[in-house]
Amino acid sequence: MLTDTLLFYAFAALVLGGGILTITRRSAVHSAIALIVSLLGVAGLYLMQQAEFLFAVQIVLYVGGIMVLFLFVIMLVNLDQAALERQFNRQWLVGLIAAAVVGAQIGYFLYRGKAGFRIADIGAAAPAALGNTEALADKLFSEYLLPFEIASVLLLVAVIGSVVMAKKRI
Amino acid sequence: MHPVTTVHYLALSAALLLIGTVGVLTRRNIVIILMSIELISMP
Repeated sequence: MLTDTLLFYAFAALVLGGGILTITRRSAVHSAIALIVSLLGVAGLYLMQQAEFLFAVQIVLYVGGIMVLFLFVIMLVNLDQAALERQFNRQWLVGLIAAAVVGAQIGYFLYRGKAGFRIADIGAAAPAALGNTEALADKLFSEYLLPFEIASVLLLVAVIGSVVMAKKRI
Repeated sequence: MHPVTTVHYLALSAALLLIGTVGVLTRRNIVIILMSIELISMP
């Protein structure tokens, strides 16, 4: 129990520290690296919840996606010039106040509704005979086959559309 | 030390959402705004 608590706080510090560094660093490359740290922290939290599939997806999709974004930053943005410009816009004070108000609301509702959350008993709740990746695949390819295929067709349409839009002459 | 409960996770998600919101509202660089949106969508 103590190990779980310590791990949670370690991963939470990783997530929050990475997030804060992401929005405060001057260089976009540094922001991307901090975002990767944050995403890895979230992956660790998934692993603590015994969600191995989500852990793998988080690593492969998100961290991989951020790496692609990182490459875009290097290729497309003029980094030297962007670092010299002003980093925060003129409405930053209004933005901070708005975010603080939203935070106060969320905190208030969490505080008022604290009694509504029950501590889940992880060990007793789920039968661990089938791993959750297998269970997910079983559901996905039997019961939810049609939505799965529709989603794949949608992604195919997006890929073809981006190729059509990117090419001048086909 | 208290055991970790659902409230801990909710508080962490709320903090992450706020960090992302601040990033979207205050930064000027469009790539960093995109990363902040990613921060919002994580929890």
